[in-house]
Amino acid sequence: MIDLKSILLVEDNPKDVELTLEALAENNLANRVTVVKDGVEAMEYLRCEGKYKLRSQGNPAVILLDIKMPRVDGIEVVRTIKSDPALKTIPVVVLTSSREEPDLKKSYELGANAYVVKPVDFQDFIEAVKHVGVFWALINELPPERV
Amino acid sequence: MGQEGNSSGKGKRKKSKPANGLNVLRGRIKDLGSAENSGKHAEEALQESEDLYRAIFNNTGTATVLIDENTVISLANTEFEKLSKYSKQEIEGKKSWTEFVVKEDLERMKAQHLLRRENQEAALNQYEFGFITRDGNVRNVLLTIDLIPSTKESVASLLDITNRRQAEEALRRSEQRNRQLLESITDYIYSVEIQNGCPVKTVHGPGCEKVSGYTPADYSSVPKLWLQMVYPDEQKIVEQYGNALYNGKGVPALEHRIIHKNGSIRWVRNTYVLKYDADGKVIGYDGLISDITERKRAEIEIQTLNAELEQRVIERTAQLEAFSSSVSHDLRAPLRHMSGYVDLLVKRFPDSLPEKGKHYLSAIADSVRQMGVLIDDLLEFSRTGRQEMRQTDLDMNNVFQEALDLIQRDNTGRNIEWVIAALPRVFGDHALLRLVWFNLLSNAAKFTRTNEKAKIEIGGYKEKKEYIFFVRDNGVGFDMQYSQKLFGVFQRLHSTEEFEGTGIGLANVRRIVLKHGGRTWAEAKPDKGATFYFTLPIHQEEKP
Repeated sequence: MIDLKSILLVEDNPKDVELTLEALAENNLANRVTVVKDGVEAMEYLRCEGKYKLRSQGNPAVILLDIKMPRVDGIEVVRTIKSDPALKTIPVVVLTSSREEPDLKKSYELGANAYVVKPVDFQDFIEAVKHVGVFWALINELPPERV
Repeated sequence: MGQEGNSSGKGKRKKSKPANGLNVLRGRIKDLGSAENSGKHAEEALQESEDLYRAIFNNTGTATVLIDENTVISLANTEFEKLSKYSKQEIEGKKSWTEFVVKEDLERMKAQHLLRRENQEAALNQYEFGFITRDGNVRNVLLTIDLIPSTKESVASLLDITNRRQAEEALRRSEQRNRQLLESITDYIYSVEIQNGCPVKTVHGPGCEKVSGYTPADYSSVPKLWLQMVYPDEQKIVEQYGNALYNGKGVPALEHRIIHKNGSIRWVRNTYVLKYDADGKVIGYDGLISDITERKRAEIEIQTLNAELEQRVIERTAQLEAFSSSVSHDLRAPLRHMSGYVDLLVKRFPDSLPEKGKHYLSAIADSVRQMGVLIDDLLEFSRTGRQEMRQTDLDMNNVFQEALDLIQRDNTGRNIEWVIAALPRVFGDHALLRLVWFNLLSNAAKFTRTNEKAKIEIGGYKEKKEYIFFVRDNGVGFDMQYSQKLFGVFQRLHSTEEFEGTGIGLANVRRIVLKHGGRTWAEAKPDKGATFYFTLPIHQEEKP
């Protein structure tokens, strides 16, 4: 009865993509993950533009967003999403290597819903990704967004 | 005196060399005489004239000589005897004037001597020179000299102006001293008389001229002169201060600018002291004006330097932040990948890996983890250095308890006896001081791990101008000869196999304590435990 929506993973590093997908799989969250490799693609996906013109409508349940990316970085993506009425209800989890304060502060100021520092230890990373599932589960209790 | 004519005598002295000059005189007198007495009494009259002029020559108050063409003094008077301390007999016809002249002036005077005889107009008639007396003294002498008309002889009068010169010199020195004294004055006192809340009379001390360029007379003739010279931006406050004083309200010293009479801007400090009569009514105030221009200049220079320094610190901090961020992100990412793939390898292919292979992978994973911790610790350390302090009045017991809770959670199952004394209140940064306690307690717990019965004591007491805190344990201790290494970054006294750690904890403790203005040190003996101390200064903001 529940329509499991997709997860949007915005990550430029293919190794990080692979490991994140593995971690999601460990937590049974790997189905319907869409991967885009920078902020430009992320916005095209979310707005159904460019090569995502024909994708089925609807927002992802959660966005996993890397901060350091080429072209448009993660901070910029958070800013754009959170100032767009059609997108701002999507939970955004900032996933990054950096635990440096300016990044942390900035992404929260811009309205990111969570900030996960990718731990060096892979087991810890799997744990961290598990928490992402909370948002994924939560979405089913939120009022239906306008499509 | 009274011996006039003794040597030269009266009568004809034609061609008698020593009296050459007198012959000239006689010649002139003769002309005069012949004009007046053309008769037979001419000779007689001449004699009388000669006596007259001789008397004048000898009795004039000025030393006078006649000098012939060859520089020899042919005639000298009594005053010249007194000046030179030679007798006429010793001089006349025997001494050259050059013998009386100091070396430095001689060439110049010889030139004048010649010039006078070749081109009389061009020669100087009056100048000063150094005159040598018989006893070798040098006198300042003003010489007045001219040729006797139609001769090559000259008549010279010499005025001893040594005393005058000395007086002038003394005066000059005294003036110079006064000027220096006046120039060194930077403070002066003025006083204001007040009647019914109004200033009625102001007297400025003499130093006002040096400070402001205006004399006390200027001040008394121009009303409100002082206020006029106050720098425009500060006129309002100076006026406010004045009004307060006129109404008997004391005011603190005021530093402001004035425009000096010469147009330059000076900084002054004005200190006011009110004066009251017997009934306590204000009758005026005394003020002390100090020129603080130099000090202000130095202050402004210091401010500029500080601002530049601060700007540089901001730039450096930004660079450091960029560096930390890059280290944090760029170094951790590859480590994470290594860890991830090793983990997947072990997990996905458990059966295809021999034991040795699994061991290698576990070693790789270990090193990766360790490097991750090192990077995190280093970043943490750099963060505590950059972090701005938020100091407040703190109950150290609470700060300590928070750290203790974390330690006890990490050491459940350990048998540790905690001996905790009440700690004084301090002024400091809550989070940073908690980190200090956390690091010290964590060390104490770690290095007592091999004890069957661990005991950790905590205390704090006041000594002189600081609080001293300590954490004492009965753990493995260390050799004091390495104690200076303890607080260095990544310095360790134990192997990682014995006791894990990166060696950043105590470096953080030291850095935080230093930021608070305190000190750190430790005392220990191998296997006899260790005591770590840190101090915090007692601030004025703290309540006693």
